[in-house]
Amino acid sequence: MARKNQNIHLRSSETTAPESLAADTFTETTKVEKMVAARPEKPRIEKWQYLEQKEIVKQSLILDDELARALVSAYTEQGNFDRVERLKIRLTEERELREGATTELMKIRDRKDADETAYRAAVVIKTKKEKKERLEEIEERGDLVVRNEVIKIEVGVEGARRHEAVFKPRDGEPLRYADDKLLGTVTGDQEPRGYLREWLAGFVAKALEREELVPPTVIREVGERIGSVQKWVDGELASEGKNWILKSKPDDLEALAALDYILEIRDRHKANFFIDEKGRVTAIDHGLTLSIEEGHSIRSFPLRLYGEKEISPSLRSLLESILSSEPRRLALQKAFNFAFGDEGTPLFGRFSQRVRELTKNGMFPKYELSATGDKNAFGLDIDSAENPQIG
Amino acid sequence: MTNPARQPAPNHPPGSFVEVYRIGRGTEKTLLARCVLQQDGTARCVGDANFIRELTTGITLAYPTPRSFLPADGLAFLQALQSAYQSAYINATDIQPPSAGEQAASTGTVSSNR
Repeated sequence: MARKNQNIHLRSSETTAPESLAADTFTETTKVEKMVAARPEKPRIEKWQYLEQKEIVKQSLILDDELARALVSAYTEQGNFDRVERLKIRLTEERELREGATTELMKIRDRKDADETAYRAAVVIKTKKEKKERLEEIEERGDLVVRNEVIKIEVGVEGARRHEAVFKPRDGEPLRYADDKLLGTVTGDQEPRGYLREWLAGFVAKALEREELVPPTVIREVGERIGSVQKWVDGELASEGKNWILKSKPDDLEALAALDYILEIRDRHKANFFIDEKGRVTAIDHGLTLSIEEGHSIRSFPLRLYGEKEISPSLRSLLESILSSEPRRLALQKAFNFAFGDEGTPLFGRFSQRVRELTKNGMFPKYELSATGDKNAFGLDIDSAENPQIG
Repeated sequence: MTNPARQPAPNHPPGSFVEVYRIGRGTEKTLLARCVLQQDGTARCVGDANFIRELTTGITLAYPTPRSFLPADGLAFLQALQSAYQSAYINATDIQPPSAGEQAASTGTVSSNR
């Protein structure tokens, strides 16, 4: 608990780490002590934060390696050397993102926290009319607008080669307050974990053997700030084309629907996935997944498309292998524990339950729509005959 | 502890606006739409035809409770734009005061429908 409180106050004046933090968290003190001593400039963050960040980066790398070993072993056993090669390309890109020198290209936006004081007072009002008026007033004031900080960076690789990437720093994640109390994050966490969710989505996509659905994503420090770094995607967003359903490869959309379901995504609108000229689908923005608080609606346009449809045998087989392959399941479980701490076990339970549900039923669940007017936003072509792909 | 998110309610008179940009390679930034608060309390958007069509079908927010917003919702729609379009690829500005909007319009930075 002490660690959670420390993290949540990264921007506050509290800077002294409790003794238990260092004792509990770090095992290679000598090595990292040397790294601290080798730092050229006066630190802007405290030593304990620096050590903690190094440990997080290191742990993410260990887990990425563990999953990669499990996958390579499985592909080799299957004699699927093409998949091994494709995975190697992915891992190379991840290494480059993790190790390359960074340059800031553009600050895309700053962080904005939410003040839920008035909202929490309004939701308990029993008169429907008054409640509606109060909530509309709050919406117009913008108290509930939250934004995380996003920075576009360039990562140098070798020679003149460069990757463009998106950096989402941990201390740039929005927080929610009510009165003078800190409520946590929009996912119900007591410390910012959106950057870990970004990484975990890529991790799960790899475990599902559909890694191309999520751009290479790593956890690293940029300057002295830790966060997720995700390779930039060139292409057309689904919202930019005229018919995203017809343009997408059905296999990809179906796999994304499954990924969205098992990750419990709340924010897969059409500006959050790309479709390239070959119809390949790539999804971004996984900060609103696997909320600690249960009961949030899953919102995913691909999932809506496949609601109550049969899952293809190939995807069903991939979903089954997530849990039936012991090395893969273990790597996933560790990744959940790493990303969510004490909440890792229950969240992995929920995740596993959803995977089992899909594989057992062989069908996608009915899409539960709870947002008024969302049907229009989805696209008018959804129910029409011009959509032969979903049969 | 004080609540750092608590701020005085801002004044957004008619003419206040939000711009939505598409971020491209390098530092490339293209204006997709400008949505301006009207005298009658609604919002009016101009810009890229495809994107405007998207906006007029409504934008949905997941937080705090799922709800869809239309330009007819006026200021709430402008607030919703800020929340809905905040990826690294499509990004909405804060609500800008009208003077800046008028100035931008007069300098021809609003792209025409295409």
